[in-house]
Amino acid sequence: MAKLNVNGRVVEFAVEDDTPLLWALREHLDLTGTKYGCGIAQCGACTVHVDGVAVRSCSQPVSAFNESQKIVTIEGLSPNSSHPIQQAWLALDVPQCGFCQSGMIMAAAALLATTPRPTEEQIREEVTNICRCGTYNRVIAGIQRAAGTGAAG
Amino acid sequence: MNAITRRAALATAAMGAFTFGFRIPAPGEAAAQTAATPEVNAWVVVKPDNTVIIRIARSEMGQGTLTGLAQMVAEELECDWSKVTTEYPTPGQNLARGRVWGNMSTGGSRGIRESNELVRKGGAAARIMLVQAAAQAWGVPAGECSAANSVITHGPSGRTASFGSVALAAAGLTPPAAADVPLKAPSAWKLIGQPVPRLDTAPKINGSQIYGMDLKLPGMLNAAIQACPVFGGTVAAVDSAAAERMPGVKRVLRVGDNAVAVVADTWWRAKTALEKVNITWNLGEHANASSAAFAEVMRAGLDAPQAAVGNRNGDAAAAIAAAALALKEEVVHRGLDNAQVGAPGDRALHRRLVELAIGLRPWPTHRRPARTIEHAEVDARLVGTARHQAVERVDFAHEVPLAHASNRRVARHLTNCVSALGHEQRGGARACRRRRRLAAGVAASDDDHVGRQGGRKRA
Repeated sequence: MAKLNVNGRVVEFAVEDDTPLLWALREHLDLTGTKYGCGIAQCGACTVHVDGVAVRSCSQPVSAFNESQKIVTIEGLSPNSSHPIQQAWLALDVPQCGFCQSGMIMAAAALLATTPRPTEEQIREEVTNICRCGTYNRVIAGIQRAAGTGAAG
Repeated sequence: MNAITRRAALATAAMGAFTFGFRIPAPGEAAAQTAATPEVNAWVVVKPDNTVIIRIARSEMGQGTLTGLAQMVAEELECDWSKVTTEYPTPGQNLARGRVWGNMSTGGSRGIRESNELVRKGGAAARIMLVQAAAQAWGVPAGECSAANSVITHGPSGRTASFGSVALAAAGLTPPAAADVPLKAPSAWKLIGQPVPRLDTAPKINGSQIYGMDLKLPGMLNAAIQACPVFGGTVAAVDSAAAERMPGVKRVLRVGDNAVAVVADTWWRAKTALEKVNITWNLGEHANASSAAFAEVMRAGLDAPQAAVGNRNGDAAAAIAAAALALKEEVVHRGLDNAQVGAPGDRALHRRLVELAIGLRPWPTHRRPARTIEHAEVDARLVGTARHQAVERVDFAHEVPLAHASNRRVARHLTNCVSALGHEQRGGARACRRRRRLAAGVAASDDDHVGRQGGRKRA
């Protein structure tokens, strides 16, 4: 049994304690925007926010969380894709295949929450998500645009 | 508080009312939809609110084909691009409709290249029908009407009609024959070639884009499968008692004679239970196979006098015997059965040839005045796989940035025209994917300066 606060709602559902948060979100709450990539917390496709901090949900058991912690997935990041990171992603067409981008956006949003004007070095240091299409340059440009530190910003 | 139980979720799924999930239209649903939302033709659906749905028959995988193909249809359709959305017909629908969408496979950059005329004609035919429908309603010749930005205008009277207002009537018209559908000249294109925002970005930034693993179907179960770790091996025995007692598990199955699968309500439960299945394998005749053993087989095959030759160009033996310099390279890459993965190996060969060619120049530097590399080329057929021969010549100046070549002196020496004279690539169709041996003769135009660097002088 798990009782979680996900995207502003408290939900209670039957699940084994050792089920990774990722699979609880995807298979029990139907929040499939969060993706399964490597399963070993390396690629970041499964990144969600827990109390605003980027967490790789594939490697955290659901029992590690309770309803006092605010879990936010890509579906709950903003209404109407209005988060500055999402708007920058839209403006720059950051995604290609897009599979990693939910996690990429969540990692980028978490970075901006703590570091509103990150340098490129800080971005490279903090956003370690892997993109097989190679969108890294636009990811960096998107974060800088959202932060107002881009070349045009 | 909103409690979601698995039972409740399944019950909801059975009613076909997903909150977050993806829904596949039931058979016949697309046809039913047509009545309410007129399909002008296979490529174009126009809603009463002027939204245009363009059907895309190739898979978007990040390469942009969805947007590019939609641009091509919209160019000829003369619709309002800001109101374009897309949808994918299924292969089953394509089959049922006599392959009206043509080849639906996606790969090799063929979507635009091979289907551009088909989709442009689809857009143009739909425009002709929409214009015809408006002209008929007005009782005027279609030739006096034109379409732009989803609006049809009767020139002489100035009357206008939106695409949405005539779509239903257009859908009832006989489509023009393909021969009667002229296409715009490229010089008249307004949308094709323009860097428009991608149509697939919006769903990729809010988690709503559905990928294969996100699919949910009514009553769907998930399976996790374990095949024999050795090719050719089989399942000897399965002890599934522990796995069958695990939560959510429906069945533990043998799949063919060489794999075991666990079927459960969720994938995570299936995967977790599969790890508890005790499988005894009969590893078969390849039980002792190893990378080292494979390498030995390949080496023996390449050295054999009767080895298969995968790619032959010219009289390699004679050319190599006559060459001032002969090089032998052995390239090993992973045994993946896809011609494209051969490319990195080919590139390595290209690069090696380039480096060797460059190496010809600096060797006796004291004997020649320094000159700039201006041009060098090699016949790419020599190093390409059978399926990668489209590019027949490779200009070294593009293939590698010469200024950054390992030997910095290359920038001061002339490579003249270096040509590989003959080549033989040994190894069978499969073997050569894993291990190739290239032998090529390389000659330079001024033989007195040909030296050996990295290559082996042929005796």
